[in-house]
Amino acid sequence: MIKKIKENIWEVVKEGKMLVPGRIFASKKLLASIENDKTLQQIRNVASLPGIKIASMAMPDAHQGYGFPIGGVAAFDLKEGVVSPGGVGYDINCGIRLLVSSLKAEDVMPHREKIVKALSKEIPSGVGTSSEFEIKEVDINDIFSNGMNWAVEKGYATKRDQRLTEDMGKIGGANPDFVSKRAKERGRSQLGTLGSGNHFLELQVVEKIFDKKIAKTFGINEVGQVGCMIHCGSRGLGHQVASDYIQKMENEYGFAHLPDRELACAPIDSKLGKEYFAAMASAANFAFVNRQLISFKVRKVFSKLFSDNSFELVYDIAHNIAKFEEHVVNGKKQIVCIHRKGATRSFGPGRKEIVADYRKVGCPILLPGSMGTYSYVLVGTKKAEEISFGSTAHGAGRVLSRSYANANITREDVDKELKKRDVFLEAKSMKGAVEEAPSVYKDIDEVARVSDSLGLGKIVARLKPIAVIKG
Amino acid sequence: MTFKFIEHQADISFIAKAKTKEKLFSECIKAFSDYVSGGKKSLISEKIKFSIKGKDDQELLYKLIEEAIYLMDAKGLLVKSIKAKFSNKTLNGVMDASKIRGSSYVAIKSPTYAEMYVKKFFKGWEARVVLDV
Repeated sequence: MIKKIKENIWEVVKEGKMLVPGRIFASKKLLASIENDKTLQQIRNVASLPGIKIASMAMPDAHQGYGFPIGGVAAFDLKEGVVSPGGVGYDINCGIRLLVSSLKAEDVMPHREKIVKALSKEIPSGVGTSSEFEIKEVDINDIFSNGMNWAVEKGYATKRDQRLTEDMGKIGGANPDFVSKRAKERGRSQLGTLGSGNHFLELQVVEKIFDKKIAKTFGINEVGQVGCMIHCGSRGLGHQVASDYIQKMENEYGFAHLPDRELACAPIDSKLGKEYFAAMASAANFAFVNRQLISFKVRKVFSKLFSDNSFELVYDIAHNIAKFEEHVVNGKKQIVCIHRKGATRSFGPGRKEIVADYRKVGCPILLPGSMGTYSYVLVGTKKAEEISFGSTAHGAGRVLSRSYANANITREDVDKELKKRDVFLEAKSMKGAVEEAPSVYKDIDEVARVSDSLGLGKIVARLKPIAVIKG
Repeated sequence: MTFKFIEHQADISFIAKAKTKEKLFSECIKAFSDYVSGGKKSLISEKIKFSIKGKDDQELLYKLIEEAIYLMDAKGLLVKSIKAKFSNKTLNGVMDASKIRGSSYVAIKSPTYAEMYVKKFFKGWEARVVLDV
C-alpha cells in the first residue's frame, strides 16, 4: 500500500519482511509510471535487506532495474548491513560530466556537422570499436588504484579536471587484485570509448540560467554558451566486476533467502564485502578516467577547429556507486554505506566531500535528458541530506520499452523529430537511435521540477542539445 | 526461429523454446546474437570450445551468455550458435563465432537473473532471459 506523506512524497507502507518503509519522491504523474512496472516491488525487496536504515528510497526518475530499482537509494549500517552489486548496478560508476566552452552557439552551429563527424571519428562508440589508448597491465592497475591521478600524470587531464571530478576521481580502497583477469580483458580496449545503449556525447547550449550566482560558480556564465555532456561508465570492465561478485556472493551466502536473485549481497564487514568494495572502487576509478579520455578527445577536436577556445570541466559525477558517508540517522551522526543506483549525490553547502571551488554553494548535480530534450544543472542541498541521504535523480528514466520502440518507431521518425528540434544526430546503429528516441523517456522537466520543489536539488541552469553522438 | 523478443521496459527480454535443453541454450545464444547484430548475416570464422559449470540451469545459462559477451568485448567475436551437451552441472561444447566488423552492433552489459527461468514443459523446454543493455 502507498500513502501520501506530503506533496510529492509517498510512503510504501512497511509489510511482510520489510525492515523499513519505502519512500518515493515523485509527483502524481511520475508516480503513475513508477506504479506501472516492478519498481514498487523492488523498493519493498530492498527494504528487507539486513541493516537498512530509515527507508528504501526511490528518486523522481525511478523505474524497474535489477535487484534495486533504477533511481534507488539505500543506506546500510556498517556492522549489520550488506553491500550488493545489484544496488550499484552492472555499469559501475556510470556517470555524467559536463564541460563548458568559451564558444557561443553562433560559433559552433555553422560547423556542427563537421564537428560531430570529427568527434565521432575520434571517440569510438558502439561494439567492435576499440580505443587508440594503449593500456598495459601495469597502467590498468594504476588506473584502478589511482583513477584521475593516472590521467594527470599521463597528460590527459589537468589538475583542475581532477579537482572537479567527484572524490577527485579516485575512490579510496580500490585494489586491482580483486578485479578478475576477465574483467581487465573486457575493459582494456574500451578505455576512452562511449559504448552503446543509453550512453551518449552531446553538444549543448545553455538555454536558461535560473541562479546566476551559482551558475557562475560552476563556470556557466551566459545563455548561448556551448557545453559538452558525456554519459558513460566503466564499460565491460565494470559489468564483469558486477557479474563476478553476484556469482561469488551467491556461492558464499546463497540466494534462496532473498526475494530476488539479483539482490545477492555480502555483509559490508565481511571479507567478500570488502573485496567487492575494492573491485567496485577500481572499476569506478576506471570510469572516471574513461570519461576524462573522452574529454581529452573533445578538446583535441575543438582545438583543431577553433584556435581560441577552452573547454573547462564543470563537474564529473557518479550515479551508480556505493560509498561510505556520514549522515544523520535517527538524530545521530553515523557513517553508513550508501547505495545510489541511478541516483546522484546531492550535498548542500559546507560538506567536506565537496571540492573547495564549490563548497560554499553545494555540489553540482547533472541531470541529462533524452536526446532532443533539455538537460539540467542543479545544486545539492541540506534538505536532500535531511530527507534522501543526500541524493536526487540521475536523468529522465525510461517510460517505454526497447521492444516497443523497435516495433513502433523508425529511424526516420527519430530524424524527423530531432530535425524539428534542431538537433543533429550521429548514431552508429539504428537500434541506438530508435531505442533511445525522446518519446521513450520520462519528462525530464517534470523530474527536475519535482527535485527542485522538494529541495532534493535546486535548478541552476538548463541546456538544450544541438548535436548527439550515440553508439 | 524459436525465440521471440517480449516487452521489457528498460532492457531486452526474450523467450526461447526448443525440444531439448541443449537446443534451448543454443536458441538463447541465437536470440542474443540476433539482437546484438540486428539480424545481420556473417560467416562463421571461429570455433571455440567451452566448458561452463553452474549450480543450476539458470546459472549455466547466465554464464553461457556472459561468455558470449566476454568474447564480444575482449576478442571482437560474435557467438552465433552453440553445440553443447550437459554433463551433471556442466555444459560442454563448441561455439560458432564470427568476427565483428563495423560498429553497428549493440553492446550488452550483462545477462541478468531478473525474471529468468529454464523450464521443461510437456512438449519441450522454454527459457526467459533479460539482458541489461
